Amino acid sequence: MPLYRIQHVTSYRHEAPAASAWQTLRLRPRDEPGQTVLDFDLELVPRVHDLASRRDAFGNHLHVFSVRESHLEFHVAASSLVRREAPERRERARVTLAETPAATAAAILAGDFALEQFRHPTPHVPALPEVKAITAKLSPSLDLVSALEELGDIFARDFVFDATATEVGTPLAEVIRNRRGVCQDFAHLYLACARRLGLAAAYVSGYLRTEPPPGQPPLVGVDAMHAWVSVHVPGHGWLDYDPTNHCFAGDDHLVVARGRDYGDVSPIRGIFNGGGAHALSLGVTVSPVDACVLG
Amino acid sequence: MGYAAVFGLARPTDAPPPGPGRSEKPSRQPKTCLGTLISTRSSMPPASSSSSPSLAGYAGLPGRHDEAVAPDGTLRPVWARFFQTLGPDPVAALRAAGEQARRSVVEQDISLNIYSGEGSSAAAWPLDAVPLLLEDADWSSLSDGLRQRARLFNTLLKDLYGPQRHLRSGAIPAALAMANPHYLRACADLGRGRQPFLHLYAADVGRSPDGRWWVLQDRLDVPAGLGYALQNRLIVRHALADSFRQTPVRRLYNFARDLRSSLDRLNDRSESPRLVLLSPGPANESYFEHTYLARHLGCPLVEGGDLTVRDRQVFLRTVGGLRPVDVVLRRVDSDFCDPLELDPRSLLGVPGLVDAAQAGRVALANQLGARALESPALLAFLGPLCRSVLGEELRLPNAATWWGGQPVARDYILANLPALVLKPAFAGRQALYGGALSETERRALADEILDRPGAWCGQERVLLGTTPVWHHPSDALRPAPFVMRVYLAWHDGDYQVMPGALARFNADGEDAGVSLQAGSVSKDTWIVAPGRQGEGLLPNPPASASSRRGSATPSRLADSLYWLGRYLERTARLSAHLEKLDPLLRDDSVSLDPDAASDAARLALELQDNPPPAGEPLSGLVALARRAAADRRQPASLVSNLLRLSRNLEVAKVRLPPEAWDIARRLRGFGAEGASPLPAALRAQLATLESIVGDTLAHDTGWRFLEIGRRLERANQLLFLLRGLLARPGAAAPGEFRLQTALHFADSLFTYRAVFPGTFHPADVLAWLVSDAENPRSLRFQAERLGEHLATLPAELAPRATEQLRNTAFRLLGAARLAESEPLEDVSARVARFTGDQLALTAALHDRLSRLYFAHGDVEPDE
Repeated sequence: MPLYRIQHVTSYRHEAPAASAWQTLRLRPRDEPGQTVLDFDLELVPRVHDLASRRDAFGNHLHVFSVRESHLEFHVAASSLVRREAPERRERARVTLAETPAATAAAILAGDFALEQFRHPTPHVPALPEVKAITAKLSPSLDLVSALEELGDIFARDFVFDATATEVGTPLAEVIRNRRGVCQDFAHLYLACARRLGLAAAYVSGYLRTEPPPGQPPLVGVDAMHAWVSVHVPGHGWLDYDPTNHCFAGDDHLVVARGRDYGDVSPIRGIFNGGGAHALSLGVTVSPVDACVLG
Repeated sequence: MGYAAVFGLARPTDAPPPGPGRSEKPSRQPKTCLGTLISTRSSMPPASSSSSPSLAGYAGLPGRHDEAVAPDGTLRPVWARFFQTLGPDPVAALRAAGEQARRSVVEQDISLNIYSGEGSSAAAWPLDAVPLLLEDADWSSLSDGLRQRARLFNTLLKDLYGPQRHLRSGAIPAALAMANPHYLRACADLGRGRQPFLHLYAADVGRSPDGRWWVLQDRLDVPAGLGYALQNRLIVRHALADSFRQTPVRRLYNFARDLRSSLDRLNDRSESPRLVLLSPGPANESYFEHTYLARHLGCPLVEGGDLTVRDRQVFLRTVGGLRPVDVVLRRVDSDFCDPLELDPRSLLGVPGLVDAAQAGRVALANQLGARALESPALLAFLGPLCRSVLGEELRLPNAATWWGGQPVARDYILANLPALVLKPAFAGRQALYGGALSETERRALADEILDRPGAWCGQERVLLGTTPVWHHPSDALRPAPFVMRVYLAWHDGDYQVMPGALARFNADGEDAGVSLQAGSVSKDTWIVAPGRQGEGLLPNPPASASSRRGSATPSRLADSLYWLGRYLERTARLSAHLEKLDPLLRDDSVSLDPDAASDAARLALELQDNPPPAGEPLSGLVALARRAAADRRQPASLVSNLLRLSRNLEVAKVRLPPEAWDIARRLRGFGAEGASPLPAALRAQLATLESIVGDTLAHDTGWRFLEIGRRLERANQLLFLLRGLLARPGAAAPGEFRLQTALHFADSLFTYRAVFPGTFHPADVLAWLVSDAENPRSLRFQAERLGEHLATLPAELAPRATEQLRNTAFRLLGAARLAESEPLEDVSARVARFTGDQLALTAALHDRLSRLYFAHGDVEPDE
């Protein structure tokens, strides 16, 4: 059961002083099966006086505050201590890809109504006809877990990770056309495919450990927040898959927030009064902590 | 589990048994759709043989219920009595009432902003003076049904934004909320409080052929039109005064009175809750209504920028700093209310408002997110929901509705496309008549529905009932299909129905939505109830409540009033200046000093940022100045200043008496495209406005800002005049004609002559214009007033900055007072230096004032 210390620093630099600001943060990792947050600390500069927190509709931790003094820069430093267990590996699902939509619908009718929201197009994951060409390659008789892996194989073969290819606002259609993107694009595109297939699929934001375990290659997306997807497997529950790294999420995937797409989980949102354009810089380190040191 | 949902399919809404307009011989009748669509294509037929002499041949339309005439051709009793009250010539009486109503609408400047492409313009409010008359018994059963509906929607909303039991049980299909863009996740849990989710509810209802009321649409998020309904009553009551007196019409007074107290009670945290009305601003279609309601409720009319959230509490930015707000009557759509947690593109909202609501620190009426249940798809499930939620049968039917999200319903829709009205389940698209589509269009629509069936609903088409309306072209009453919007408000634990309504019909006779945007005409609705006249009469609302605590004046309002004062003065001075140029062309005494007259004409050009050409004769300069005045592209021209005056007047209107509204309308006319403002006519309007401002407004803090604007602008204009006419480097001392000209253009010649009979010395003239305390046009007079007004403004927020501001006014006063005692050798040089120094002071005054009071609460306390 590895233990991680996560340091996540974000800085805004405005071109002119901002008289005031209002911000929301989704930076505190989730408490969920397999993951326990032992400690969380937020440091905000300049200091704020009305930091409030609540849970959003997806159960993510949300911090809300205002900045009342005129400022050129704003810094958010979030520090978390998280214990993570390796998720149970599932070789096969009990349902096939073709059976999943009906099984999901049955689960919704049986009371799990919230699943429904993960089956529909969302602002960042619109319904795109181009997606059909990808999903058509999957055999409907595959069991769902194998189908998810195979969809990942297609991504690994046809799409290139390119940190410079896109920005937060790049539309999904362009990602498909250029066949390159960052983890967020991979996640959104994977969601578009999964939803096209009638699956309930969610967007996950989180972290990866910065240095790989000895003898293993480093993963992509270690120096910033990472994104992957989670697919509801009827009869089993949510199963997290990382299309960027072509693997199921393991004990080095640390979950911060879950939602329908990036818009539901954006780590920092701000409204500024004045300030003009701003530059954003961030740094993330995720390091394993020796449990003995903690005592 | 899916039973509840499947149950409703065949007849999803407890629809009533088929009536004449629904399935019997449908092909023979002109079919229209209920929804928001009505057809009047077949209406307005030539008048048939007269059924009643007093109705001038009025008759209903085949297949439709008519309000006034029963199927056997006789007048219904309530209408018969009404026509009797109109006297011997009812047609003439109704024609006169129509004219009277139209005049009232114009005079009171009641407008509706119509969105038309890029620009939007205000059109006069369309009102038909012939009221819709309803019997009290008929009304009572409709009211009962609507109260039930309001309770049902309130309960459903509290559940949707609370425990979500009805989603879990499947009574509401999950997709109706979970795939609905108007279900606002940021508002989850806002339904858990004790307060109602819906404070105000409105329903559009229509009459089916069998005479039953049908609900066409439920208005949950921002039920608009209440202010127009109240205003209609005031106008029609006046236009049909005799009839109104003789008819036992139920009064709107109690409902209107209770509105404020029930709003106050939404927030029980505060002893004396502070209410504001949040409006999208003057560009919104219903801005008139917002100003009207704010006046009626006696609360500040604010826009998003007036409010700010700190410590999860909403504050109003005022000239005295931030004041807490406890209740927000919201006229901004939920989605646009908070750019931080809702639509980030919105410029109308208040960042942090959702969180303040989540913290329970502010009550919103209605609570955020209500639009989620405005989906027509929900109508397919309302009957069963009513049974399971309230344990009652749904009393009012709505048009039978099929939601494509259910396979059986989807197949029904696809099989019956030509007979149905197709509506997007979650808005974003116009409703479509299946029957009006071509074969190709229908196939495309079918594909679209197959691709995303949950995004579509099919609804049956129902004939709307008609009511008599005044038809101008034929100068007679004609039947027109109508819809009626009825308002309910939460009061003391239940919903209270306003005994009246905003009825609307489509005037242009085409298939079109009965939307206020699309050219429908409104009507007052009279509920006739003998023996129920205990209530008082609806009063004309007062001008917006001026807060007793002057420091509570909203910053943005103070800003607008200040600029109103400045533009009022600037426009008045400029038009007076232009008016005085013409006579110079005919005045022989100009030959005494032709340069002086030319300088006055040049100044008119300079004041409008138009460099005067050299060597131009006086007549040419005057013509140029007049042309410059009408130049809309030049921001300093008379007409541009007039347009800015109008805009500020629009914002400040809520504080001004009705006479000012009429002037506002006329001023807009002067500034309209193609109109060239005639200085003399313009001056008359401005003079009236000046006298209203000076003599009828309460001398509260808002008025102080207006006066500060006027005084500061008057000081500036005087300094420009002195500089333009008396500061001419190297010239000899000004002669008598030049001095007279300066006095004349400063509106001070008449008074000067009384004090200094027969003599014109530079020293006397300057003393009179600059340092005399008794000349109301002198610089000193303006400085003294400025000092007095500034002394009354709140100082507690930033005492040192306030001190500096007041000192600046003192320096101006000192300079004006002392100017007299200085030696007067080189008049030109002295006037040039003096005016330059004082203009710098007035500029500093403006800067300090703006920073201190108009920074909208972002002033840093200076201690």
